[in-house]
Amino acid sequence: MCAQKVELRQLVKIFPAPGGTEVRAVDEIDLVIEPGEMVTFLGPSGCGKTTTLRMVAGFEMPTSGHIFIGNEDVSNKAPNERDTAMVFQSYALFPHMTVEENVGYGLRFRKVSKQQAKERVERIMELVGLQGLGKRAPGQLSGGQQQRVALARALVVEPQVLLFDEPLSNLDAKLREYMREEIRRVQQELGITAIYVTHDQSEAMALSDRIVVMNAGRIEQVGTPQEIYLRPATRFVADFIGKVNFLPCEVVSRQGSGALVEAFGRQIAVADAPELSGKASLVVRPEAMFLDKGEGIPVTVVSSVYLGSAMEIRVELPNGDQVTVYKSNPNLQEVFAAGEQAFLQLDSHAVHLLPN
Amino acid sequence: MAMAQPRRRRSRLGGVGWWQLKQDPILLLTVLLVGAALLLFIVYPLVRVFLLSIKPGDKFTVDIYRQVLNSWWLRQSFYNSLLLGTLTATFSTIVGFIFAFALNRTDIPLKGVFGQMVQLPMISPPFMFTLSVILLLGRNGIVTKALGLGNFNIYGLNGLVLVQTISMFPIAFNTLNGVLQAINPDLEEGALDLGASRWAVFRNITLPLSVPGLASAWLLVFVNSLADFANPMVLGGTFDVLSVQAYLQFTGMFNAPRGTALAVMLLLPAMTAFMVQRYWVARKSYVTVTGKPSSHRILKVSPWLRWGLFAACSLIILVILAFYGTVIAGAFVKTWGVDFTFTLEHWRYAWDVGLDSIKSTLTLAAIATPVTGIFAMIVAFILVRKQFPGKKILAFVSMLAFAVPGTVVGIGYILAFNEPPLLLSGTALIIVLCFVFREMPVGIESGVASLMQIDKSIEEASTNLGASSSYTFAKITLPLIKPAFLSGLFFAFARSMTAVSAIIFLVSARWHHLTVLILSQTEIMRLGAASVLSLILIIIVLGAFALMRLAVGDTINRQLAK
Ligand SMILES: Nc1ncnc2c1ncn2[C@@H]1O[C@H](COP(=O)(O)OP(=O)(O)O)[C@@H](O)[C@H]1O
Ligand SMILES: [Mg+2]
Repeated sequence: MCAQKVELRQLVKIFPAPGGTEVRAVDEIDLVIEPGEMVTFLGPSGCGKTTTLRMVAGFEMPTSGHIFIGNEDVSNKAPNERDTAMVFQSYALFPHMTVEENVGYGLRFRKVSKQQAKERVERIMELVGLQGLGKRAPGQLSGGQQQRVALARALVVEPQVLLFDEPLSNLDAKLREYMREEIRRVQQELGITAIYVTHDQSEAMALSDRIVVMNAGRIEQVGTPQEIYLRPATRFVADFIGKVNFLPCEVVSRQGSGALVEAFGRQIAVADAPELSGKASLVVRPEAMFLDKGEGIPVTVVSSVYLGSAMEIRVELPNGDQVTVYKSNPNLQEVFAAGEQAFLQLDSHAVHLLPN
Repeated sequence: MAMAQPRRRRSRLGGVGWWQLKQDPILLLTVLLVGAALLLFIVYPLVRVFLLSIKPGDKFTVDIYRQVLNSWWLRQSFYNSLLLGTLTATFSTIVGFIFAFALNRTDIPLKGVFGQMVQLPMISPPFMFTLSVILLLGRNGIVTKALGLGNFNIYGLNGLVLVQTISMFPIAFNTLNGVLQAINPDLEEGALDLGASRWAVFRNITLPLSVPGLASAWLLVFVNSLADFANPMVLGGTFDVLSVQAYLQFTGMFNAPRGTALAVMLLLPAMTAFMVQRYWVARKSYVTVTGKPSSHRILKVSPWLRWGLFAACSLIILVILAFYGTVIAGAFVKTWGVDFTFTLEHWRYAWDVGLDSIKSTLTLAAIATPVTGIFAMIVAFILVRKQFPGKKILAFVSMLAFAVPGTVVGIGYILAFNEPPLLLSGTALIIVLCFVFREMPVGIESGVASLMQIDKSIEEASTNLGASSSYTFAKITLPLIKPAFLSGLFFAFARSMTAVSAIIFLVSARWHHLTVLILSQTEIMRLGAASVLSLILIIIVLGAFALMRLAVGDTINRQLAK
């Protein structure tokens, strides 16, 4: 197997929609995926993730633009002529074949001897933990096992690119977490280039080298999980990934790569900020703020909810906006009751600046 | 009370359910009444047919069967029936699959039109295509004459296979359409993605997954071909089949015991095929046909295949339309094959001989239709929602009409209901009963299918708020399954209007049926009048269809408006 680069250039897909209109499902996407990298397309339902993936597989033809696998332009090739393998949301296991036959199916179309094929199937089944289940019918397996068969069937052909379309959405929460680690382990072990589609941000964070956040057919931001979480490029990304608060502020001056801003009469230094002036928004995660009894932005506690690992506290800012604060590892002696006055402090390393 | 019901899909025979019957007197009464009706009007006539064949005098004997098997021409009828069934089933399955594949797996033009046209034979009078074949290819047929095929003989096996295939391939199509719709396109895309060619995808995935459906389709058409009476009656020539021989022996030769023996011999292969289909092939299926297409995605097929399929479908549809056109033309020309001048004479004649039949047919069908519809929904309801002992047997018997050829039913009704206290022969009632119990399974099937889709908790909510189970059925369940109910009604009506094989035994001077009249007009070669009467029949059925669409569309629109 040799991992390949995947490149999307100016990729566009337009579907005709009822009433003579059209849907721009994918709108001018540019992206380079490095060999051996695992990239996740993340975005709300209907944003064009699946369509992009299906264009890479060859099930949909791009309306315009190009797809390169390695140095080869595959845009006009049929799916069976492309060296991709997809793990489907429905698993798409062939119900009339045994597990072994399912896993070995793709080898029928590659120059592999019977003996070699048998060995490869065995090796892959072991890798994904399916030993001893080869003679079963897919219908006799649990959801998690079926998921492994789907994975093994895609891996065994040693594709240049491995594709996943929300493969874990039919599993329960525990199994989902376990399987995403498995998928990541196998992908790294084999060093295979992979594209993964999901709408679940925690899945994307756990799995990916890089995340591509999509919205309405366009790329909002590409970056590592940390970059996406800590330095969201747009309000959409900030909002889509985890909980976030926006605080109105005014840029006072630039300081190197950072900036000094003023919010509610207090000056706050932002370590890393884009070139901005005038009114802007401070982006702060709930866990990057804390409540203090003596100093900070004066706020009124609106409600507080005990979540076990954390306390989620809603407070009202002087301008009437509400923000959420997490107090992790809450200690029941330090409760903030509704109506109580408190002061809000920000962790200046974890705040981020966005234009309004 | 309903809250406490165990949420079990199927009851074991006996076992649970007794206590439920005791707690719900209305259910008990319903089950008893339905069971009694099925026994009396489905099982009992069959028993009478069988009894007469083994007890023609006052002793039990197998003499009749020995005579039948010793006579080469009766033996031949048996083989002929099987041969005709095999050929028709094979061709129909192939044509049905071509249509189903083309409409579900390619993007050929005119898909919508094809999808509608395919259903035309389902609502046509059973031997309308025979009539057109005679007009086209008979001794005075225009094709025969145009091509100078003086000695060409369409009567016999070839003509029958042609006519039966055209009228029965929609059965195969509907089965296979459901199967192909239910195959998740992910499976085919998955195979393609792993490197399979389009042909390999078909051979490795689509075809194997369709095999149970193909077997089902084949068996269903086989049963229908065996049961067909009118086409072989008119177009058989010297090619004798069991249904016709049973009729001739029973009525023409007044050899009732021999007629019943032939009926039993007809029943056996039909029942076997039906049972194999229901209880074996259907279980082998990989896909659950839900009636909901899983997706509209289409894999690319080569332009050659695409246009080849388009041509094949067009050809079949054109043949169907040509047959219709021929019957329309036949209704307006003086003497077919000889004198093609326009005339309305046939209409006048048909009006004279046919008006009474039309009135009586409409009356009988109009009475039978609502009874069938309501009875079918009640049976569907207790089958899906209630547990009671003997449920499986009740389900089996209620579906039996699918398997029992009309000829057997007709003979059974004559035998069962010609003496007091059940002296019904010659009355309208016997015909209505025959309609109800023969057309009921279609309604039950559509009722069962749509009840399965409705969450039981909706009904439980109603009983929980204090409604009785009959009130819940009338005010909650029935409105929810109204589309299925209405389409069940329509099919009951259409099939009652076009029935012939059982009805021909039951008609009388007072209560006549249009199909029987068309049959006799065809037999005496008054083809013009037969064409006119066929057209009238089609117009009535299409009118009913339009009404049903209006009513169904109306409920759907109202539901949308809410
Ligand atoms: N075959 C199709 N025909 C028409 N519209 C489509 C088709 N496939 C997807 N779309 C539309 O394209 C948009 C993106 O769909 P999709 O890629 O499936 O989104 P996602 O996977 O991000 O949920 C949606 O608006 C969807 O309705
Ligand atoms: Mg999707």
